[in-house]
Amino acid sequence: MGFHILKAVALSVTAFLSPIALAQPFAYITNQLDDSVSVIDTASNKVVETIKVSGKPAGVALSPNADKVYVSTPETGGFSVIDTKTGQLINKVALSAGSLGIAASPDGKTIFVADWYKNQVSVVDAETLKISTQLVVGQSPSGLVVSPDNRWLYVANRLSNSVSQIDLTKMSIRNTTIVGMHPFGIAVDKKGERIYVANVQSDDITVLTTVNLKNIATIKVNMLPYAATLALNDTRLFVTNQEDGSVSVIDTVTLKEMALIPVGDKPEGISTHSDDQHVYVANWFDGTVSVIDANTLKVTETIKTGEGSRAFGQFISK
Amino acid sequence: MKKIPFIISALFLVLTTTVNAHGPVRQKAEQDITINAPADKVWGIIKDFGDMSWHPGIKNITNSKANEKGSVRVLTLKSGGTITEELKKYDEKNMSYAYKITEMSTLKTITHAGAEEHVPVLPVDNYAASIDVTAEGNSSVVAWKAGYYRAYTNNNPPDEMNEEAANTAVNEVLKTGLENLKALAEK
Repeated sequence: MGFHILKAVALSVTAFLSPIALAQPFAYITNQLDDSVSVIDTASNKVVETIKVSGKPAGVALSPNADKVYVSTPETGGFSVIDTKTGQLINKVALSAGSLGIAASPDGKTIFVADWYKNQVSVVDAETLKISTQLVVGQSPSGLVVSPDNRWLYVANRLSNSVSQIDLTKMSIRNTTIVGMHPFGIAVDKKGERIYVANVQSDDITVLTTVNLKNIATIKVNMLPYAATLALNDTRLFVTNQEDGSVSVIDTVTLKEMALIPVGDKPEGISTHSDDQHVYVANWFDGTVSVIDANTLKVTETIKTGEGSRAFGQFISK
Repeated sequence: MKKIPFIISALFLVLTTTVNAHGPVRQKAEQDITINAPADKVWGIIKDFGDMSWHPGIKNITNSKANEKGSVRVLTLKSGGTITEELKKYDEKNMSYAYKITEMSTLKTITHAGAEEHVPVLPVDNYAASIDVTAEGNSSVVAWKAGYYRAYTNNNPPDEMNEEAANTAVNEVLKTGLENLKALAEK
């Protein structure tokens, strides 16, 4: 039973189903308590489809050309692959029990999955969906991000209070540095110069250089910063404060918080639209998504999704 | 071509074989109640973080300081045991506050998977909650929300420490508290 058969079937399925009217980009929101993924058409900001995904979907990543969504399923210990053209779940990949953080490399060749229990990151070939290697990192690895040039993978090690930098040419750890208390979400800028790490327990953001992990700044935010994303040509950083029901806006030049935007209850995942201006926030408690205009710093829309919307990762297609 | 649905089913049968293990998933509970009393009056009953005499499950309470972030209260339960909570957010204007459980005493010790496990008095882990009062004319709505994990943080929990035990216990705390609050406010 090889992958080729699956591919052939997937192709047949595609041919059979009438393709959903697609107008890019879409936001894919994991609803952990509903075992589903809500697909939001960002042109209308409406949920156009809800895809059943068992295993308590939590983390999310998109292939660079947006043909696939990868959703981590901690309960079934692995991740599911959704074909975005058909809205069908086309594969389930078994890894290990604590699969949560997930990222796809910008070249589309690799998927990385952090295992919360085993202190490792599985490196999965995006074509064959086979594990190519497993990297031992710090304790309870959570957020993952790959530098835009595919050179480095950064891992937030929650219980080790550190970030590991993995050299993707050698597939080995190059450097590990201490950050704030319990780092969780992690973001990289488009130029590949800085990474921003949300520390859930010390209520701050650590700013590091991408190459040498030099600590540039620690920025105080609010209660339980969970994840972060950049907008407006990397000039603004948006951070979900989970226990505060808000998003902190940081000016990346002054490295200070410049605004605090109330959103829904227990905001978690956060991603920037390809227009670089709208920021989408998944509110876990409310089961909604707030859309923020990065220019006016106002919530422009609130979209009903499903129970326990987490969307931890990059969830909007480019 | 007619065979395709069968092929898909067969394929999924193989593909859905997964590891039989469970990672904890954050749970939520919410209870709301409408009270036929003005919001000021209702807020007046619950506004002191150091006073939880409005909850029927609480025997007594001690707290470290006034209604400010970082204040710690220790609840002694009528059923025995203690819960320590820290005030994380206090918003007088919006009649709301949020807090976290930082410590709990053990209700009982069980043996599970060959190890001794302490079941906490509230069978949850990493518990955070908020309570707020909203005016609706001359009455008010109180919403009490909590987010938490089950008490057992590894795979395959015992019954006393699984999601069902956590959800049942938390909903009971919220529900009985709000019902008593309503009774007190409507007196």
